[in-house]
Amino acid sequence: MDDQQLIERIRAGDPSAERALYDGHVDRLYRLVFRYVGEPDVAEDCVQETFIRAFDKLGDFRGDSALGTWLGAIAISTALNALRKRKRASGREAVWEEAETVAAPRVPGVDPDLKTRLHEEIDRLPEGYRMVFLLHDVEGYTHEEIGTMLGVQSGTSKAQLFRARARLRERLAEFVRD
Amino acid sequence: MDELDDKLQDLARGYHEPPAPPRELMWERIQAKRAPQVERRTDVLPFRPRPALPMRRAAAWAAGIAAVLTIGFFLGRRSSPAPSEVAVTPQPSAIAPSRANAPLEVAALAHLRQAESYLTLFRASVRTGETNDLAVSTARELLASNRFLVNASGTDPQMRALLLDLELVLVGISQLQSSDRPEDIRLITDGLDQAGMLTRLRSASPRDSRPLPTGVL
Repeated sequence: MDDQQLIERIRAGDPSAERALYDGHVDRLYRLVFRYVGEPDVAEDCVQETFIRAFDKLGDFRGDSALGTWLGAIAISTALNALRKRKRASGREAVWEEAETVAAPRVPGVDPDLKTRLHEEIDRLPEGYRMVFLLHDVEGYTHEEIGTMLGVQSGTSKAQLFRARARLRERLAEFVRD
Repeated sequence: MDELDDKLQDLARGYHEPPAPPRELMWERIQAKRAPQVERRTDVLPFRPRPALPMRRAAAWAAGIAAVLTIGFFLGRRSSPAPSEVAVTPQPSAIAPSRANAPLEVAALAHLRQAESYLTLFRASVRTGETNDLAVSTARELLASNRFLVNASGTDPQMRALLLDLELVLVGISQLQSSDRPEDIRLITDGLDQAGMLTRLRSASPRDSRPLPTGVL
């Protein structure tokens, strides 16, 4: 069953089609959101919210982009809102520092300082840079897909990736010299 | 991208590395959160309220549908032999009524013919950009008959498959709104063509096999 047939069946009120849509996209959306928010509870809430909004708004989906890209856009918007709320509540730095102590296992052959510093520097990137860097360099989305999901031109996505990499290189210069 | 970028990209893959998602748990929560909304919706599904019709277009649609049905009725009467001479000759792709389910199958044939006439008219109206709310309300009525036939215990699987495909088309039309763009409406007719719906309806209810009583459903 392709996306269009799936959507028609959901619109006709077929609950098994809703489950099929969920099964087809949940893993990818969870990865995407988790990369960005970094915490299981927050990621789960965001993914749940994404599907709830998607089922409610499926009537508005016009097929201008792939269904997966449309869902990705909702997921990103939900994740951004969740992070904004968290930032307002407690400040991001403290949260990330705590997460890093848990999520930075030693990997053989990799300088642990560089890895830790890199993760810290990714955290410090401006939100737009960080999002594009994670979507492109970590999750492998194309600039066209990123543009659609973030509501920007693909050229903007390319520019932000360029600046994100430059920022990371600059901040990690001491390791480069080593 | 230089060597450093490669190295950074490689290391970045460990950033917030996602665990396996708790699929079932999240699905249960989604269902629980949506339950009140779904219940509310079942009160009004499958149709949304429509604005009032422009009278001239409504009258044109009503006249069009009535004309198609009337022509079909008279053609049927003219080609009908006397009751004692009726000899049903089933066609390979057509529905052949069995004795046990004859009333249901006759009803199904009448429904398919009505749907075919309606969809033909609908497609023509899309070409001229004259779809309106009467088309929507007629789709709803056909949808109700269609649902009845899909759920009927005597409907054979082949017929049910055709009715389910027809249902998708009718649902699409029944949910049209006056604010929908022409390209959205055209998606429905494209779907009609891609599914070969009119051809399948004609094959399943050939006009020259036998006349049908009107007003079955």
